[in-house]
Amino acid sequence: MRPERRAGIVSWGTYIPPRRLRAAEIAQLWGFAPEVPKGLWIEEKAVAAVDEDTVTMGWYAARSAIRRAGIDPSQIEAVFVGTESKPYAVKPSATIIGDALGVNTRKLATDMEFACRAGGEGIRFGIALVASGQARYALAIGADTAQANPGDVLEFTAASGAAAYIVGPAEEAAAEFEGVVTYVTDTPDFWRREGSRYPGHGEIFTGDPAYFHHIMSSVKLLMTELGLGPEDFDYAVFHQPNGKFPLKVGKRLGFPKEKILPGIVTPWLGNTYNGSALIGLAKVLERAEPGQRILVATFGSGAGSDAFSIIVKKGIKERVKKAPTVEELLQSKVYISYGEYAKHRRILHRNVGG
Amino acid sequence: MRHSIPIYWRSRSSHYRLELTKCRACGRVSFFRRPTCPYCGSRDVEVITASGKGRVGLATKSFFRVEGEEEYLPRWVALIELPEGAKLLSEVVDAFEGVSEGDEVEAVLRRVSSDDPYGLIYYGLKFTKRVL
Amino acid sequence: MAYIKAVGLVRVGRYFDRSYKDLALEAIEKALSDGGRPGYVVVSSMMAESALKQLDIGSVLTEWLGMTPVPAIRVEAGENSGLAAVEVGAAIAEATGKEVLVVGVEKGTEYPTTKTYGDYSHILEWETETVRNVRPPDLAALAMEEYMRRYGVSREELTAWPVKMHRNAARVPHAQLRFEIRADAVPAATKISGSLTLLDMFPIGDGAAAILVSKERGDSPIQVAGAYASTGLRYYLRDDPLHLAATAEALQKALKLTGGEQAIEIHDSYSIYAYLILESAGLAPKGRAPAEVDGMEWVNVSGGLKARGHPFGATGVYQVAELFTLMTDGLGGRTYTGEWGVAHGMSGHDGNARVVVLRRV
Repeated sequence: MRPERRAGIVSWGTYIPPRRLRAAEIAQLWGFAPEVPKGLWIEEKAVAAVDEDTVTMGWYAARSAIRRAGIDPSQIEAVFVGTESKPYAVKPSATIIGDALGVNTRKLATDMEFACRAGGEGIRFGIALVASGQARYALAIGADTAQANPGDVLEFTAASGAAAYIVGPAEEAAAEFEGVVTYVTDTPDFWRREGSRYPGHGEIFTGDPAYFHHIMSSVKLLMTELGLGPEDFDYAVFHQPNGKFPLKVGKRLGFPKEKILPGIVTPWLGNTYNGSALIGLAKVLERAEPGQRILVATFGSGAGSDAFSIIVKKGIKERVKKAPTVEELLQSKVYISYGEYAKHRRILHRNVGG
Repeated sequence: MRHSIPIYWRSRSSHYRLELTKCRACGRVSFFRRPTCPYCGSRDVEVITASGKGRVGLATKSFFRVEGEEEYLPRWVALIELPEGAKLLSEVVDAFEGVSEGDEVEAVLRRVSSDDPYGLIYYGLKFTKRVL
Repeated sequence: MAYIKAVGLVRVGRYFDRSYKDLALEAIEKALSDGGRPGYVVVSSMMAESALKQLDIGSVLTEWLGMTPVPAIRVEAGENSGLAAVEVGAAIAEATGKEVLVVGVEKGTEYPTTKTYGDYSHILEWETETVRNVRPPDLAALAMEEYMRRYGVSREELTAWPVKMHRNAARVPHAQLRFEIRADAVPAATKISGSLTLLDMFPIGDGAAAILVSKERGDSPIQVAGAYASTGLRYYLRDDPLHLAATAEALQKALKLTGGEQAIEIHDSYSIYAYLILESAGLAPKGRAPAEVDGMEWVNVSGGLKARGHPFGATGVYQVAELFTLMTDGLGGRTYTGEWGVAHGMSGHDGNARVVVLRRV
């Protein structure tokens, strides 16, 4: 039996900030034709407030996961935070979140960087710890306040959000891991140099050689190893830098649109980087029926992809209502202006300190 | 360096979680972990952690301008009443329609203060109107 | 107790060209002009560290005044440092038999207001209030909100105090703001917090005031007959934030002494506090102070913190010097001929309160 089968998702939680900026306003300010955001299928994005960051959002998502699980946080023995927007370049967010939640001091904890997929890798580490008997519960968080150079097309989608997963024994899980494969190569599609405020990227190069190749590779490897095809899955959730890419990659892999749409959140949320696929997964878990099978494929530039096959178990429905859902968080919103966004995300140049 | 390390670190359990002091002698509950009951002076006290739920007693929208705080203004400051029997002062966030007496709120972790650009960030609890 | 031999004060204002030493010297020279020889110096300055970068300000002043080796001490009790210094100075005078020079000095304008306001905000408790981003005007704004709701008093009715203070200060030569204001200007002024505006709040300024006290009466007309002090709970711990318990305790003791007949200077850092102080002391019924202040002839003749000004650590010494003047030569064209003068001060929202009682002898 694959070792991953010993572990499952005991619970999950998400955080989406209430402030939203419309894509149309970005287009108007920066002189993009209105067809550009339409072509990306992006309508609006979530914006973290000036006093929010990866730590605060990750905390909220994790607190929801803990409430949903009904466990004592002191039973958690690992905290992994996957992010590319650390409040400190050196000083882990995981320790702050850990102490703030009352996680055990006897624990593993680390922040991890792999562009948008480190949150998924945290889940893999959680699986490994649980399956090997080294931890009963592991907390894996994917959170970002995504950055984009003002006026760059990336600004339409760079958004803020967080997801948290408590990985634990399969017997206690709401959904089990049937299998997982990670595929990684050195592919420089998108990066951010030390000291740089905003990332650089290869524009169309971020497509076929990066996003599509890595997701298709990890998913094909997984399906081959498990002996499954698209018809065996009820949902396919992909990393979603915009609303169109997950539909395209899903189509190339042979998944019909109906299985992909439920996990799509980017058009109304933006790309929350490490939150992207994981918030999409949470949305699906919040409506899935026991026995259904979910494919989740993360993608991180640089580049790599995890493909998970997850089987939903009985008892998931009761856990859904115990904490805010993705739908509730998406609907709880208020629109802000570009100026407010600039102030909250600190993209205005100010003299600070002294 | 404007932010001390140990001053905040040693009390982080109170700043990160809603710790209250309950007096075993007089029964009163007060905000923050403290060694003596501020009401009766007894040292026979225990620490309890509040649920995080609260209710706004009074609120004010503040424009008071202190250097270094510009990006956080205006902010809502409120006297919050906790069901556990204590009151505290706190910022209220996500208050898009203002803050009024009787508003139900919930404690959430936020940046409370940041020694920018190179110093420590203090995280602590504020109360949000966005209770889901 | 102790007797006040002489007083000196400087006009409250903005003195970019004068240091705290210059201002203190001016006030002290007036207080010593009759030939006083202090054997002890008690200094009050709330912002000596933060604005002046000066610890042990006492020994610096004694040197600059040419008084070395006279002993010196600095007293600090937040906004109430001035009255605390008077209290301590009177006690030292009584205990040692020396003439004690009490001098309050503050330079609120050495830095922009955004820094001065930041340092001033440290009068609240750091770990349960200040670090949580609560500032002193917010507490006054919350109290104002509760007051209006509880007593059904309108915001317009609360303008009585600042209007009265400006009217008084217009006649006081050393006041900072010597102009009258209209009631409708108060709500229209710059918003600070809630309904509280700039015209409900003290101005930032510089000042120095000095008094010379002695155990020996000599020909002093005014005795320091009592000093009462109390500490209070933080705002959020109070069962009724509108009851200024420390102020009530100190003032009620003082009013027992005076029988309720006195000229009084109260700590009106914010308009709402003036009403709460009067009501907490029983000088007006609850909810009625705004309606009654216009009829109070001998309350804050100086113009109070609102219009005479509030050079933080010096304010309490100003109050005592003003009452001395009011009861002897007269202040602002009026002379109080009664037996008692009462100076009240507090820090923040009644964090500590002190009352000094003067008596005509």
